[in-house]
Amino acid sequence: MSEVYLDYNAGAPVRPQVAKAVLEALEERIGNPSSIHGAGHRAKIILEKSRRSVASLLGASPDAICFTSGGTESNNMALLGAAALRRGGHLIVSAIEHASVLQTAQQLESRGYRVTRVRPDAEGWIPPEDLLSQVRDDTLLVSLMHSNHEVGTLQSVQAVAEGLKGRGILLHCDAVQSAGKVAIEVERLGADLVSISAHKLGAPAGTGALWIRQGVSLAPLLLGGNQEMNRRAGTPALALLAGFGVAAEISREELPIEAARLKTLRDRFETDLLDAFPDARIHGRTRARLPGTCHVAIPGIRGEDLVMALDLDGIAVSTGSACSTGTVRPSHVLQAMGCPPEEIQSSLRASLGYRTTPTETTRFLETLLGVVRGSARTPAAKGRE
Amino acid sequence: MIGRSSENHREGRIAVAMSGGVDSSVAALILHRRGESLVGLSLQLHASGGEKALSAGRCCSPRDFMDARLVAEQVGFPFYVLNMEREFQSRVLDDFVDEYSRGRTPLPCAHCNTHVKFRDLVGRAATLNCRRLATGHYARLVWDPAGGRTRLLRARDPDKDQSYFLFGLDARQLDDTLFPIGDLNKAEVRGLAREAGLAVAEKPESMDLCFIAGEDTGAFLDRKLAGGTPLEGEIVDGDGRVLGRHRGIHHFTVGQRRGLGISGREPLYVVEIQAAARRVVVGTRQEQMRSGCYVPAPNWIGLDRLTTAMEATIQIRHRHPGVEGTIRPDGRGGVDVQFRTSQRAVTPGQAAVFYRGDELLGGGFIHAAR
Repeated sequence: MSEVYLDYNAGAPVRPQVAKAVLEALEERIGNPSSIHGAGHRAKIILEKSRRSVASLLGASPDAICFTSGGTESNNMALLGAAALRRGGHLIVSAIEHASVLQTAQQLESRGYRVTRVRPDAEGWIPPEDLLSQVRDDTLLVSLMHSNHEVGTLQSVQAVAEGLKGRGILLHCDAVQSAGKVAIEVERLGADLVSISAHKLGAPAGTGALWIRQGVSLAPLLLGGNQEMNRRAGTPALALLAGFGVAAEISREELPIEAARLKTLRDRFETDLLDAFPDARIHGRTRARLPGTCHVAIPGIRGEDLVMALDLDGIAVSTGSACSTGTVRPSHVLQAMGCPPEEIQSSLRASLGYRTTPTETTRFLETLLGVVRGSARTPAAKGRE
Repeated sequence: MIGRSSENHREGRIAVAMSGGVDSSVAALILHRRGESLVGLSLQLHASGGEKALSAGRCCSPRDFMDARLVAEQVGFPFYVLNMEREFQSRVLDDFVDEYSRGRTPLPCAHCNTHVKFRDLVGRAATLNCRRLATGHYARLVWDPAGGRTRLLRARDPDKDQSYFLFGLDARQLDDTLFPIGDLNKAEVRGLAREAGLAVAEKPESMDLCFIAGEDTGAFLDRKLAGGTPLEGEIVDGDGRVLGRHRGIHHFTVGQRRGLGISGREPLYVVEIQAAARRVVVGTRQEQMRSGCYVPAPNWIGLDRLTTAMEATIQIRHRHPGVEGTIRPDGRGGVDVQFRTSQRAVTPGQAAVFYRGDELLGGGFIHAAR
């Protein structure tokens, strides 16, 4: 029985064309892109082709793309790099950002910066006016994700950008989950800094990018070389970046069709699930969401147990909360949304992607129904079935 | 040795509770070789103390989980870490601290077995289509067709026997339980692990309480009880004469000799802890001898229930060799226990477990010595 992989928000399987590009880059005699010789030249060509592809995914100019080691570094670089150029000041972040934004903000807070965290509504959406009303004279940066990694709600980045216009405040947007899933045009978006990651697009983990609006300066995190136009020192991970470029290109080409296809699959799954379990609660359903993300709480059964039971039947999903081995911290996203602890504990996230077929979502649904019906659900929940 | 479960309802997987130690690893190995379909589960019972726990190699440390995971990978079955911090907190840890503050000496492993492993874990394993649970306990189960029940016996290796900690199990649960290493001694277990090339073969045993890493129980309790009702008070002798002061009744266990901070003509032992008065009563070795105890809420495994007085071997703490005596129903569901010869350190909070030969009949927590 083949494995059904439905955890694309955690990481997409590497696309075959990407694996091929990575392998070719490894096998081709390439050198250091900074070198003068032919091997260096070939390396530089690979690097710049990838940069163009990634830029094109965001509707951006290649010069504005700074390659990094991934979404986490991009987010760190945006916040720390912007803050480093000021002495103190105020940051606004949404309370449902990825940990790489939240913990960086917390770090800045401990160094004397002020941080305001804006809570979402019950569906995981940050009202732009709530965020804009927190702006102060000394606000230096606002960080609002493009879409939430757990529930998939799309955030109103454009409205926030409008509200910040002309006030000298940087707007950072973590678009790691959105890139390749929904169309992003950085100019229309209005942000100043946009983070993306390769492995959500079907390239190997280990690379990412920060789009930096022309004229915005950031203090670099890494020193010791003039790579990436002095924005990030260090020899680039060339083979991985070759894959990143191909993944970005395919994602961009397939996006309109894929987005519609995945939304159809996801919506049908959710309708069928609610038919079977009317007491299930789908988070973010009344808001615009990523097309392939489904985040659901099934009362009376632990999400953690469901994930394991489904895995034993060859279906890979997630609880949605970032957890290292065993230590499951209740999701800060659901907590911020005001979900009660039992609901947080019973949450499950399925995220669909380029390889997902209707057969797979059907098998997922049937297996899930079987597991839930066969489990020791609490009587109260069972009575409502 | 295994019980009824070896004969019946073979369908479904077996959940193996894995600590990352050699015992549970070999338990899994044995079942795997028997052709059973397994799921290895490690329980995250408490937030492990980071690097301290890692270096101390206590149970629940990331290192132990990784050891268990590698065994599962090597033997060839799926493995997960199950978070049960909340269950452990409410069913074991809170009680552990409360009992000490009440002047009693708790038995957390028995609570953990009864509530967390053999009830909460069994419930969660059912979601994984596991109807049976195996552990690396040294104890045996045999199906007795005549009696129509599974009997719980001491391990073949008396030195390793852990049946004492299992007295709280529901007799019906035992039908769905397996103790694959109950027939082996430690050397045989290590031998099997070595032969199979398991990296945990030579792993040292953990002796301490899994949730107290890198500090002693007293310091742990001081921390947990800080800010609560003060527990310090007087140390008195049997006649009520004040011999000294102590800094908290939670630092004492009945039968304890060390750490009293007072000297007498002969060695002094803790004889009683009077929690309400926060008084610790000490006495000579002779003064701490007790002829019996009261067990208010026993659990029965080898009997349906106790209807008349009967002879039994009574074990009153881990590694206690057992004493012959009489267990007598008190008419209210409790048991009056009478030892044939007086025993030292009859400690409230510990369990009195009743055996007939190797068979565990039942047992319960000691309320009071007498």
